[in-house]
Amino acid sequence: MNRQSLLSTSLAALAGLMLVDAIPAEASPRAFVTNERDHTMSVVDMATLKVTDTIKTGRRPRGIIASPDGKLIYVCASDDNRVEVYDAATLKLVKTLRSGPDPELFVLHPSGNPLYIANEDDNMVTVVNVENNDLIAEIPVGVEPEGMGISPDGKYMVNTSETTNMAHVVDTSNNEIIENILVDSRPRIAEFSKDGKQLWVSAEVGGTVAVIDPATWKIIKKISFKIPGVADDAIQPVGVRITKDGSKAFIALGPANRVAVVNAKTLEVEKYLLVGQRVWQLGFTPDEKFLLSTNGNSNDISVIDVADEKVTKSITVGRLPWGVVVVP
Amino acid sequence: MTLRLNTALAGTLAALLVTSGAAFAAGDLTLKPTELKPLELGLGNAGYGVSETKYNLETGKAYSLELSSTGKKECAWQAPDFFKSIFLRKVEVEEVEIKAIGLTEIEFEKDGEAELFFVPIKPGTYSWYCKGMEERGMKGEFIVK
Repeated sequence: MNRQSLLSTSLAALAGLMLVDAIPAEASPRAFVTNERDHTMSVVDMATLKVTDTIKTGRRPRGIIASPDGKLIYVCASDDNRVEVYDAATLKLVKTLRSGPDPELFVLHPSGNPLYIANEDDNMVTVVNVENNDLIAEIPVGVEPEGMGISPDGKYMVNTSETTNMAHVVDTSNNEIIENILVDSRPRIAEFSKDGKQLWVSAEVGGTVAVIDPATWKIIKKISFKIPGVADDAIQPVGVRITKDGSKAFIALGPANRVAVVNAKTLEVEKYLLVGQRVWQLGFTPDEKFLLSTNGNSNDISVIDVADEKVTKSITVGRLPWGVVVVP
Repeated sequence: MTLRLNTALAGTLAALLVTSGAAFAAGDLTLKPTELKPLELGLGNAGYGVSETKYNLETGKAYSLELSSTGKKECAWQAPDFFKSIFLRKVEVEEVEIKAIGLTEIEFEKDGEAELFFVPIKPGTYSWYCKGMEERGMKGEFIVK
């Protein structure tokens, strides 16, 4: 090798190194999807819409959320009775956190700490300090707690109990229940609007979504759904996501294989989008250009263009995809 | 004539014996259970379907009933009055045999199976259901004669 070619080879190698270095800085958002039956988590690159990694998790991973900075991914490993925390960049398990038995869904305080976990088997919400794994409180709620929501100011945490059919409102300053709101059968998700002025609670068996005013904790409206050619009992609302500007809400309708688009101002259903089979949970990309739905029976996720209200793609993931979160 | 009367008497006696057989049963009634049609819960697209809605049973006879759930719908399977009117021999779940004197609920949180071995001891019509899902059709009856 002469001097000239040695120099160019070195330059090429250097450029290669720089390229490798540059990738994380310019990385596109990634979606993390829990696959309940495979005990894995799929990682999807949102630029290429391809699965880039599949990570082995604890048994029966279900609820999945990210820390406010998007650097940590929290997973409920339901059958291992613990919460697992992954580094979103390295995809490595960083630590595990305590939970009560059978954690299914959870929510982080907007500050990133503590973590509120619904424990289906002992009718408690466990409050855990994510820094040191200390148990802060155990809040007795209804039978089979599931859905978990928190107001944007962090003052109120809401848990739904599947068998009691209630949304329990907890004052986070003292972890006491201040209100119990009766909703329809088998409530699944509690989701606040970003301005904190609405609380949406889906009822899977009841087939409705209750919109609640947090000023009075009264139900303003129960939204119901009708889809031509779909039996009413297949309409089973589960996942709920509301855009940051409070204009639109998206509701996953289970075996109806549709996501409903609701005008969040008028509370009227405007459209139904056909997605995969048994659509369960939903997650926005950070810029809210896209919404992803997990489709448990077709083992894929659907990509919904939020502005166009159209399904643009489906991506095969693991078996029985359950939850999804997207980080920058 | 005599013969005819004898035949009639014999017939009546036989009928009496048959009808009162169960009441005077001796020996182990829990042996050789009749396998009932399996009861599958959570069928169909919506997940509210069940494979059987009616079981006809008799007191004093041993039965086994395989319960299973697809897991599409969580099901807390209950039959309170029926549970009070049977002798429960055992419940089998996977490789485990549970011998208990009574049941209140069999809960399927996901897909799974359980097999009940029992002897009805009291006639009646008893309902079973997945708690909270009755209005969605997840219910049925045991009719015990």
